[in-house]
Amino acid sequence: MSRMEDFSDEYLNAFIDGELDDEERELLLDELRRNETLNARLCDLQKVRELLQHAYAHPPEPPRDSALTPPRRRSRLVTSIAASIALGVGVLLGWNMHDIRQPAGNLLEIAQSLQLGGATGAADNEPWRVVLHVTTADSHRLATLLDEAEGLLARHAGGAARPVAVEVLANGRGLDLLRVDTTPFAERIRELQARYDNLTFKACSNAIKRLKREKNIDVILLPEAKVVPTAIGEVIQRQREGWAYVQI
Amino acid sequence: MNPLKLFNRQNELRKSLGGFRPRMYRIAYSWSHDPALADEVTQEALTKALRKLDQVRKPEAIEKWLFGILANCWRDHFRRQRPMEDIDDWPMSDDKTPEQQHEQQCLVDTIRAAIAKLPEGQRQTVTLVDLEGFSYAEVSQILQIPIGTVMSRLCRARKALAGNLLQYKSRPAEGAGRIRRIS
Repeated sequence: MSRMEDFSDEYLNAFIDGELDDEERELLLDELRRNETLNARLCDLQKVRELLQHAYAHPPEPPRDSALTPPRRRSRLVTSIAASIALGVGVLLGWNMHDIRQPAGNLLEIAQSLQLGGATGAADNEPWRVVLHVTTADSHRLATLLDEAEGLLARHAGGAARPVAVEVLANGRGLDLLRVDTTPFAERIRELQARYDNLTFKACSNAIKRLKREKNIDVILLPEAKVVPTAIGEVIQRQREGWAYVQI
Repeated sequence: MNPLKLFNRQNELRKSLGGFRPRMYRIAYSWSHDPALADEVTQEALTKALRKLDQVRKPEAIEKWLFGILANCWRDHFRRQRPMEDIDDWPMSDDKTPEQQHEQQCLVDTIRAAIAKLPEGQRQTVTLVDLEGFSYAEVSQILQIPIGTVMSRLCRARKALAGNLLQYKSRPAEGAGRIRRIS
């Protein structure tokens, strides 16, 4: 086989898919060195493959509710798996979950009343630790969050007081709080961070990737923000460690 | 085989199933272009796989086995929907012409639309080869078709895609040429 018309499209496809044996591959490679048209045909097929791979590099996420509310045709097994996950997450998060949109006292009171350690009668010197999970971009609520966090930290800044730790965890719309181009509170966060080393700001990596994928936004975070792989993973970890959890 | 070893192996396989989910979802999405349906078919396939896990003789062949189940679930889904049609001859319907796609949507959407227009069998074959890197022999087993059919479907699919997509890329240059002639 030496003339280009002997190389069918099937042959070229088999070449780019690695399906030819050494001898067949050599025949084609030899012809490619001198045959421009053959090169162009091969190049087109390779481009098609690249385009296809490009098109599905980031398929859209499955509908959010499908994991927890299975459609009608799902089997009982899947239903029970989903129910167990929902129950597990519910028990883990919902047990102490609180929303400051509801009438409630300040964060300190919430942390005191909700923290697992406190509920089980932990020692007095056990620190109060709270995760503030931010999922909103509402600047009024964000301001309230920072006010409350600052109040809590300030009240316990002295050496004699019970130690506290506050972690602000942002995902979804809440990511706006920690983005350079969207946050109204860059200066305030910088000041708070400089004053309190028991305050941390964390951003969800998944949310950052989602913004890139869906809106082509390259997220630049404030220098104070650290990145965690997933917000939900962070919350579960903190809950295990006995932190209180408050969703903003 | 030692029953304890067998049990451990089954346990490991069970744990590994979840890791395949994103890949199976991606392939199901490339077949359906419907996130909810892709998720449902993936879920169904994983559920079946869990139930039939004891059929896996070689753990290294689990990918091929899983995608075979996925292809079966997909076929069953369409049997339920369109019992009298051969899915190989059934192109996905799409109201928009390629020109509209070209004008209105970005490159990714245009490529997906071109793939959605391929007949079902061609779309399955080309996505399994290009996205998952399965060999022709593996695709033949996954889709339960002869290897010659894999090759011819792949060939037709890529030819059709080249006709649609590579033309799409050359159009702006032609337009630019016309403008130069007018001025």
